[in-house]
Amino acid sequence: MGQIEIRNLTFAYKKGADILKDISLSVAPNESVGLVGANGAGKSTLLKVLVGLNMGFSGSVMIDSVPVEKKTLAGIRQKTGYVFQDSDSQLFMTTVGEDVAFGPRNYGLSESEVRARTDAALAETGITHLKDRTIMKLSGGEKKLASIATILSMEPEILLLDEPSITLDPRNRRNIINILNRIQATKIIASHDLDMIMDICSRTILMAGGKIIADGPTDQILRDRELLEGNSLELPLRLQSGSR
Amino acid sequence: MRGTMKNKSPMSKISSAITEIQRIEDLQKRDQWLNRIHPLVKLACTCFYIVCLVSFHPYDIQGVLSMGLYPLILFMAGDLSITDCLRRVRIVLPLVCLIGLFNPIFDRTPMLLFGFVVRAGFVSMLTLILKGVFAVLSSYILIASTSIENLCYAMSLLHLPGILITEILLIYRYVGLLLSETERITQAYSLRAPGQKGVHFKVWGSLAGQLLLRSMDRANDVFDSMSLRGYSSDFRYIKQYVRWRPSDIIYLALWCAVFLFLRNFPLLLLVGSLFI
Amino acid sequence: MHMADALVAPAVAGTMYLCSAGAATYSVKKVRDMADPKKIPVMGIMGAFVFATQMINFTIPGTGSSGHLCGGMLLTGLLGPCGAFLTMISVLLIQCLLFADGGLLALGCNVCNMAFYGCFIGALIWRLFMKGGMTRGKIIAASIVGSVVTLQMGAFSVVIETLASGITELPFTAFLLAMQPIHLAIGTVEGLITAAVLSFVYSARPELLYCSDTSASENRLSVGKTLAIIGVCAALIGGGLSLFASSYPDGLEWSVERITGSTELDAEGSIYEAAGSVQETTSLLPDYAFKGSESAAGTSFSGIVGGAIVALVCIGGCTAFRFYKKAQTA
Repeated sequence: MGQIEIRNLTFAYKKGADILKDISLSVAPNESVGLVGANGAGKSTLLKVLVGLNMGFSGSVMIDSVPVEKKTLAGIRQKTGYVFQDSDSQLFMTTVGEDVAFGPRNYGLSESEVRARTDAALAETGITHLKDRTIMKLSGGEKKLASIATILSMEPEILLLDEPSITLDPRNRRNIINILNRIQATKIIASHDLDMIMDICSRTILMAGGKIIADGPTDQILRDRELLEGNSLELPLRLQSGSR
Repeated sequence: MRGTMKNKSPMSKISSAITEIQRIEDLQKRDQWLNRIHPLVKLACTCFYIVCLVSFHPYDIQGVLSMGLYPLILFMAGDLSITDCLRRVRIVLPLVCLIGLFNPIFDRTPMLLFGFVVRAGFVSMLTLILKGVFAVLSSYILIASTSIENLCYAMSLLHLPGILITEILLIYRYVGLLLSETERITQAYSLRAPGQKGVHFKVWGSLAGQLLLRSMDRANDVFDSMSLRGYSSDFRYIKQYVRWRPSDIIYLALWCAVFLFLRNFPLLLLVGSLFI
Repeated sequence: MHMADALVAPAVAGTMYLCSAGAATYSVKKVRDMADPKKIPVMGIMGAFVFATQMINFTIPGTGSSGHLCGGMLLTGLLGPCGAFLTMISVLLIQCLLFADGGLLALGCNVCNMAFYGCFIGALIWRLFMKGGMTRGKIIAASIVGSVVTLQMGAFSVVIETLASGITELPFTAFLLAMQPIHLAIGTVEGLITAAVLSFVYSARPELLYCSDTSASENRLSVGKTLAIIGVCAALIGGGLSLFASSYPDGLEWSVERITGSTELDAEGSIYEAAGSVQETTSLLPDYAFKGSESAAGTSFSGIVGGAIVALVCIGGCTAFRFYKKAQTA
């Protein structure tokens, strides 16, 4: 499972200033969706609504047919992983291993199960050797991998990522792309890195001013120069050389 | 309150703090016999040492000197650099010296020190400074061989409240980050305000305030990250467990015996009288 | 103002540890009762913030020198007394461990001098000023008054603790006259920085400030309760110190003599006597070596010889040990 259903979602941090305006969309299990749009288009806000960090919206948000509301949050958060843009906010324990074990431990798993999941998540992201490292001493790329591992250890069915490739060097970026492609889950990736979206997502949603402007196959949307440039974006780099 | 009238550039101070933290972390990570001793044993040993040390009579300079055995042995056997540690002494020594300096002025009772007649206040000043230095050395031995996580584990064994331990670990986790952030913000400031030694009073509020608001935002994100992974109200930060070994008990018992002996018998005089 | 281990006697350190522990227990209970899960990360990150901000040099206008922030009052203005107190304890502990700022034994004293007054008395002052609504002027006034008053109290405690520990011959009044004015200046600067930061927060995000929400009164520390805590602590400190002083009346008399203006220094009535007696109670075995001021240290040259021999034996032994360890790992 891992199905998302949003109907007429409207959200505002302050009354009268809607960040999300009448959004409706559905995402099928194991689908990979890229969420693109200019700064302030509402991408992060939308992701945060899905895990109940932004409550007080109008409309309906359902995950596997369960509405997102206060009393269902625990269950929804257990199957929905959210990777923060800033890894330093995501990682608050002192060592990598402790941080990866935090989630499973809090959901009351047995210590042996916690250990198994921690090791599996570390192996999946290829950072087993960093298990006992202090977070302060990690590089930016290692921090991002560790952030993803902290979510994978909860074995989520839905993975929400906010700018996962930002501040990474090309090799680390490629590494993250490969890892994300290996993971079996529903994925929504909010990013300005359109090349990465092309590599991971089959479907792309373009947002602007809190609304969905376009929703369709990645190949179609990310090739539409007029649409992208009208919304403060550019064609993905790999498509630029040929057309110029 | 910390060295109020210093005119050091803010950058050097912050970056030296960051390097100091990293240096100590490197020491804690070493695979040394001292690092493997149970953290509670090292904590107890250090505290008992300091209590014994400061309880020496202000005139008892040989007793205080004999307490130098503990740092001497551990610095050598633990392969620690005494020069790295002595730099730390400069933080506490000024106040200690300042207070001690008045002793020779007010206490002029004549006294014999190693064959010389000196003022008693001079002797008490020396012991005070020695006590100050030795206390810093012994704390350094503790922190250079024990990680903060392990010390917090030792404190949890002593039933310190969980909130306090969580706070210590959280602060420790984010100290490096905020130090770098502060360094960046002060660097950005001084690049645009050349020749200023510190931060001009007109921007006191906004410079530190911006940093504060950003930290608050970070705190909100951290809270979100915690609650997304199942945190509700109470969590145990420490789950690690350090195994007790027989050698830990022997280590503690041995040092306690040594401290008690040194505290009650003038070792240096006894040894010296054997030869003279 | 961080006191070093050398400046406190075990009895004084123990008394102050007890007081700090009492206030900490109360704060832990209070923070738990608030049941605000967000408080935990906010306290932690604010602690790291104060830690880092303490290293910023704030230029004092017209002097060319710079001042620093200690942060007790600042934290109180943001977290309220209990949260601020626990945060300050953690900051002081980390500073003492990582930077040798303060000491393990003196931690109780430092917590009392810097955290207790800054947080609890500071909160009391803050609340008095904020009665009937918050304004920028009130925030500035509360920050300055709070910082000055709490630093004066802290400085006074340093004097009392140092003298009670019997490590200085400095007369009470002279010590006091040196400490209080310096800390008046430090407190004023601290107050000005705190005022600047808190009024910035007030204009940007007023909801972050302590007492900004007048409806949430149940979580607040009442004036009566605060006074009760302070009373209990005062009684503990007073009791501890008088216990200490009553068995060695010379110390107290000596101080009183200083205050009344007797200029002659009486070696017999030295506070060292008190310290000496404390040692006898703290040491487990009867004191063999030294009685009174006839210190055994100087009587002969043997101390030096003994010291040299012991040091040589140790250095030799340790070198052998390291050699052995290296051979073992190789």
